[in-house]
Amino acid sequence: MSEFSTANQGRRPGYFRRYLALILYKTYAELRAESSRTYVGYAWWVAEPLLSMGVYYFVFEYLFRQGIANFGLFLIVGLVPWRWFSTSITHGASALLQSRSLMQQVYLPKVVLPLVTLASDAFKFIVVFSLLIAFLWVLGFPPGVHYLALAVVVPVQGLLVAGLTLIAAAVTPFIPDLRVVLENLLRLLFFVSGIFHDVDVLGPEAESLLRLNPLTSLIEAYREILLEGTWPNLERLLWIGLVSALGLLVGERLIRRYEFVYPKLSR
Amino acid sequence: MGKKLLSISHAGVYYGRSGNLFSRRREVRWALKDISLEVSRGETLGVIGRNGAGKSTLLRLLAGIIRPDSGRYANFGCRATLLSLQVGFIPYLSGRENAILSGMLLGMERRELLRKLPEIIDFAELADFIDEPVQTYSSGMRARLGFSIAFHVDPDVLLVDEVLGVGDSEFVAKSTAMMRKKILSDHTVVLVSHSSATIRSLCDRVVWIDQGCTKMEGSAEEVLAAYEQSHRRLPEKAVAAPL
Repeated sequence: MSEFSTANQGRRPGYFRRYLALILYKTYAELRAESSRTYVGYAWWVAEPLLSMGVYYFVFEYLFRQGIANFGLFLIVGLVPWRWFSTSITHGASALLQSRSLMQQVYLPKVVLPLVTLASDAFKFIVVFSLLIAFLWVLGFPPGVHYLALAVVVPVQGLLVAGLTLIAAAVTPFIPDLRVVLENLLRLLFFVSGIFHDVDVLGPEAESLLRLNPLTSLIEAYREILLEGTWPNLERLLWIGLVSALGLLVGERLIRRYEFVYPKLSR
Repeated sequence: MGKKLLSISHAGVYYGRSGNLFSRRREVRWALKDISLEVSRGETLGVIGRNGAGKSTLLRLLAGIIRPDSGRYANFGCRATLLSLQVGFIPYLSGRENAILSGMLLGMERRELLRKLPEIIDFAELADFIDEPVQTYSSGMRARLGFSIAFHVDPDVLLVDEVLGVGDSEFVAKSTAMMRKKILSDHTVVLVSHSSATIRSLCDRVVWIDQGCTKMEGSAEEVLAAYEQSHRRLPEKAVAAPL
């Protein structure tokens, strides 16, 4: 096993540009395919999150009322970033598995596949998040100078999401069952990410435990910016960003390492 | 002899099936055991062998989709592409969108693709339907589009697996004729088949593989004679699209 010239397509000039163009076009194609599959098409990108948020809103505003002012908004501001996180990882976990026949027919850097699902989920997040901001404005939470911090919060979450998505994509082809484990892990995470409550109401011990979960801090940051009009804890965010960037590198390296193994896996 | 483009020596490839946790059988099947061959610019190399000899795996190896688990593989800076039909097709999208997507997956640059698109559409005889979703196409129309895209990708080395023509009978004739023309021109082609008639009519040099090993290599005449001799009692079955 030696003396391979680098990749078959020999990282010639234009390598990255070519695959970037492919990622963009494939993302466009899948978004379009997804929307043309249903009756109302593109409207689902907005309607689907609205419906699911509506359910939570109903349950927690009317059935299990918590003592937080504006609880509906509190909840929605937590749910929008959460959905980005969970859908992206779920889709990433299937990205390579679902493209088995494609991988056997053409050479392409396998990282392209989860990057496509990442891009389409990021795009959907941006659409929904923009709507959220407009919605908040209408309800009397106008954008302020604190919105500048979103330029840190959103990219940091992007790094976190990307890192975990790539790692999920890298591992599941070897053990497809992990997707079931992942699904339940995400469900657990959903309840311990401070989506339904402030982290500090649980006492210091529980808080420090929940702090290990980077989503808790991210969701808190979104709320501080959008609802409270204060600056988030930037230092904490930068740490999360740094660790996430490492995760992203690990994911990319893993996928590259098994580049030529994935097409051989038969399941 | 042209410049060397691809070379594999004593290459072996295995597929492992890891079963599941409760049946701890790790079966390993060596699809290729000891294959050596070289591809030079401008030639048409034939690879002949019976079903299960490892031909598809060999093509994947040459296409750079997989790497050998033993032996060596070297690519001297060329793009080798497997002629794959309807790669990455998404039924909900139009023929045009699928042509772009599929062409890009096969390694074409977007700009080159857009330039060739009218030709691709024309060749597929789909001018009136190209903006309709592919799911509304008949299987013949889909096959035509798939073939036309793959045919217009011009890699440095074209890897062809068995079937040259597709679609309804008229299009089979047309696509087969075009494929023959392309192979006989100065393109570099590796053509895999179990049919000695196909190989004889198109290839200069032939490699015979059997059970994952190179059994013989040489001029078409020489190798095919030996191949036919060894299979005398096994009459050739009709190929999907005989040449």
